[in-house]
Amino acid sequence: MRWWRRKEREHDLERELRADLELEAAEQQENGLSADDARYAAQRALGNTTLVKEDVRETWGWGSLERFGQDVRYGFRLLRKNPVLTSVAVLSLALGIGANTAIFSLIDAVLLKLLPIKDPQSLMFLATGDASTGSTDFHFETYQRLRAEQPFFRELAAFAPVRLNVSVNGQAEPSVEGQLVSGNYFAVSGTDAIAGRTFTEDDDRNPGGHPLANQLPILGAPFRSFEFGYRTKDLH
Amino acid sequence: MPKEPTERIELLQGTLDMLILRTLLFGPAHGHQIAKHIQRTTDDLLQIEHGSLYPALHRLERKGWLVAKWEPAVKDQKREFKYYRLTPAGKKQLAAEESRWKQMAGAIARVMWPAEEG
Repeated sequence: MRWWRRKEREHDLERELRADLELEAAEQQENGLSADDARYAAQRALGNTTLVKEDVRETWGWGSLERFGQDVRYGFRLLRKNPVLTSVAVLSLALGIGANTAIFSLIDAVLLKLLPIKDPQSLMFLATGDASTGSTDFHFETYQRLRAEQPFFRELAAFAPVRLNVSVNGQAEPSVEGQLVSGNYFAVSGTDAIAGRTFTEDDDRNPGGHPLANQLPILGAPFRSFEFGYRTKDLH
Repeated sequence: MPKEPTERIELLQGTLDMLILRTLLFGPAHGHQIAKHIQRTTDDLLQIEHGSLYPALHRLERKGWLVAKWEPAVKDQKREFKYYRLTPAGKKQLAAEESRWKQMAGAIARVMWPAEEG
């Protein structure tokens, strides 16, 4: 049975039982009882109507659902009756859930989530020294020799942090954290630009020159959308 | 007038369904008629309580053995009653229950009165 037909069913049952009651009363009256006595006698014969209805409803097949609904409503009534207890309970639940969510988001971002690149599992960082004091700093020449001669990795890319002074339309902006990267950096990580192009090996052929002199800057998506608005079609 | 409760016989579990189906073999009837029919036929020995009758009717309807429809009464066209009608599946069920009941009654009889068996 469909639950939306429930009201209809309920009404139907009510009518069915009432019809029976009237018939019973009429019969009792034929047996010589007064109208009132006949009605009482009929009601006695019919028994507990509420119980009958409950038993019938049980056969409709959502008795357990109904009891669950009753429990929920009862629960809400009790909660409304004790606003202080309720708010304390809700508040502690909210704080508990909120704190756990915050901690998990942090752990997820720092420990669990993989870098958004093509093959994060096979990415390695090279470092000198032991695990605790190791440094990932290398001279550019060292990197170049390693890249040319190492037999272990498919490709070797380099990066270094740098602070950049930015001006937009001649207007100086607060300096931003940037990275100097080798020309193959984007090829190694397998990431591509949303618009325009990324560095290639060809941008890498000027070792002594100014880092940005003959290279195009790559803007990270958060920076771009924050500073310039996210309008991909404008970036060509 | 109904007899004293002590003189009534408790219905065996499951037999009410069979009695209802058998009663409806005569033709469609509403709940009150079904109860009265069983009561009269058994000389008031079996009193069908509403608390058992209506759940049973709705259960049988749900199983597809009965269909119910509001129709005007035969005698008084102005009043409507919910008439229950036997379906083909209900008829089959009645036959099945009847044979099962006969077997059971026979089995009980053989235990209770062994000498009378041939």
